[in-house]
Amino acid sequence: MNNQTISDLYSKLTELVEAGDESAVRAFLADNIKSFPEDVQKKIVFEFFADAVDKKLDTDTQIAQIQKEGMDSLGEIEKAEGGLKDQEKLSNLRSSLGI
Amino acid sequence: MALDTYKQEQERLAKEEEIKLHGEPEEEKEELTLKTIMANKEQSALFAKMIKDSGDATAAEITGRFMNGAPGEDDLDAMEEYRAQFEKRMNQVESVNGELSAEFIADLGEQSPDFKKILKALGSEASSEMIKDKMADLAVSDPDRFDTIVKKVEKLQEFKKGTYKDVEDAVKKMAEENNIDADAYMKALAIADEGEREKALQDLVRNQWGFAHKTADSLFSFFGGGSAKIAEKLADEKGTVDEVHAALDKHKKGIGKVLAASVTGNEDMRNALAKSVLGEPVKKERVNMKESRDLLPKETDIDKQWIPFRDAFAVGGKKWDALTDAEKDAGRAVFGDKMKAESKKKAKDKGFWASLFDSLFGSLVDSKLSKLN
Repeated sequence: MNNQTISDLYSKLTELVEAGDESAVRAFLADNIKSFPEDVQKKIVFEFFADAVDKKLDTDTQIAQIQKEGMDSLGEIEKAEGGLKDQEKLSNLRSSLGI
Repeated sequence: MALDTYKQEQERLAKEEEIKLHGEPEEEKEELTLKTIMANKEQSALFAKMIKDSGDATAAEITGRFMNGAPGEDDLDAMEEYRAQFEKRMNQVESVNGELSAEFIADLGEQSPDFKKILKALGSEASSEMIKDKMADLAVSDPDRFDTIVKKVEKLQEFKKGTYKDVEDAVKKMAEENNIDADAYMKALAIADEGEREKALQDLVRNQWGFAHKTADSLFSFFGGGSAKIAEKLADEKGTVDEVHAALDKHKKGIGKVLAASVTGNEDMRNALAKSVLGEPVKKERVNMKESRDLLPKETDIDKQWIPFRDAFAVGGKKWDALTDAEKDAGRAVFGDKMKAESKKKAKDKGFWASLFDSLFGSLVDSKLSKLN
């Protein structure tokens, strides 16, 4: 990899950045990853990794909360169902006793 | 002879008992000495980098003497603090890098199609090695960022253990026992096109399951008032006991479907669910792409700042044109470090784009240095 090529890749990247399309820039980096020198590849991979860690942490945090709240809610519904059964039993008993 | 065998057996039993009580003994780790550091190509480079970034000129001089194999009598003591600091950092690197397996990295690829593409092009194994190298570099060059990433990786690992795992196991068990039907979800997952699949999953969560832009706190708020209140509320709304049972059952199935689809492995669904709870985008960049670009130094700044730097640079009163090639190279290196430090300072804590541009700018500076005159 010569300096000219690094400069060319950087110029192309700059053009895309100036155009303002973030997904086009991400796609350019991903599509051309092997054209960059190894030390630059390492830096790009690392930044995408750090970004993915942030995203996964956001997702896992939300999902953990959803799962906890969901399971708690299911427990509450089951308790409510139990309560309904007790009411039914009480009501049947009252009817049979003519109260 | 019999006595020896008896003693050996006694020792073996005592060892077994000790392991039972206190677990396997940790292997004692050898202290990382300056001699060991200097004998290792990667470690000596990292150590020199740490000293250089510390700005301690005396320490840099001593490191130079160690690297040349001729330390002075007091040099060992003078460097003890840095040695201990380096050892601590390297232990942290070893620990976090143990978590950054190819499998872990491939799993992270599910967070973005572009990262997935990169992993496919370079391979998860090679990418994992690159990331580990960079973590070691970061530990000495940017300890704050290193610590932040380490904490996040540890938190991600926590989700696979302890109470988080217990809840997830309970979700899986519940889904199995209740034979939860996630037909619409399976149908959406079968869509081959990534963009279309994501759209279908979002639609499922938001429109069909009705979880559009609710916060996690209010997601199940209907059920938040306790079991008695739920029964009361449904009884008020629905009237007969049978109808209340039916309504409870319907809500149970609704929640069950969401939970069943949320287990680890269903990454597309987990992302769609999390996005629906948080709203788009899940992660907001601290500074967006264009702002990052404007904030950080650019290629033209290298040329612009070089001339005044060169004209002011002098060694022992000699100006640029009178310097030897080695002195000029030293001057270029100082300039390169200055440009990179300026970029790094501006990119600090500014998010993905700023960190990315800072990294690329560093490589650009390196590639241009030898041409500066």
